[in-house]
Amino acid sequence: MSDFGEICPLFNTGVFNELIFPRIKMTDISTTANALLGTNDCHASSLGDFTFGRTVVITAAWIRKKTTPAAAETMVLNHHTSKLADGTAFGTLKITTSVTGQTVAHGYMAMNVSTATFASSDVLGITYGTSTAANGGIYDVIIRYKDK
Amino acid sequence: MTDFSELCPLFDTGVFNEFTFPEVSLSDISACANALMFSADAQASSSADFNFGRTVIVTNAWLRVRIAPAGSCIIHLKHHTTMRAAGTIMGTLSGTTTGVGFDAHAWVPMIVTAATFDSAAVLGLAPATVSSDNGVYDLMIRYKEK
Repeated sequence: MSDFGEICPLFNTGVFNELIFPRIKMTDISTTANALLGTNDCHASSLGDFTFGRTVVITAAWIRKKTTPAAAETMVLNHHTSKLADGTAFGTLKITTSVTGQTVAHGYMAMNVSTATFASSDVLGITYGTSTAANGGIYDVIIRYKDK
Repeated sequence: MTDFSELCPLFDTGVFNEFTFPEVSLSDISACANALMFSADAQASSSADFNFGRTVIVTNAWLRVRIAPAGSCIIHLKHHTTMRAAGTIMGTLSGTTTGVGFDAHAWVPMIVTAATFDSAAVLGLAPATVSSDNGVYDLMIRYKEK
């Protein structure tokens, strides 16, 4: 047994982990792009290629604003079956331009997440509900997942 | 069995993880605030609500200076039973203004007393004394499933 993930199926359960993606820039991100892999323009040619490499279940996510966007937006967490496939939204959070309730640089705010299963080659995506050009803000994103 | 934490007691052990909170500013954070969640002013209205969601034990912590404080800064790691409850100090580190032993490359261990966080408990970080120039840090914690 090389890691604990191999024993999990015996108990039909999983080991939880948290992972943070720091400083995600949302400027010039279209609704079909993935801010973890590249802007819309370089999406197809992006060398971005992060996958989980085994089956995991994402159960929760949080966002922290590092800089505030120019306009209110809805942050969308997507499930992609491959890097360039269209994403299916499974998490959202409305981002405001005011600091009320969303403290810049300090607050990790929970997204509204529907649990999503990611196969070995599936790709996590982050985008906005509306395409952005200038000043889309910068965010840290925490996800919680468990080995299936 | 809903998650692995229920299995761990059978083996009297846990699965360890490390997690890093990057770029945590301690400037203008009062001793009763939580720099991971909100500044003092925004505490009541904050939407922040990160917790572990299951029972874990935080066993160690490290800090790395990103921007040095203007003066010496004692930093406290805290256990909060809920998001806005007063914190109990479980770790400390004295930041210095000099680079000696505490420069921008070093992950410096905090002096930590292991603390158990249940599903709703919240990790906190705050300076002992509020200042407008208390520095920016990366915080790494080590925890295990209970």
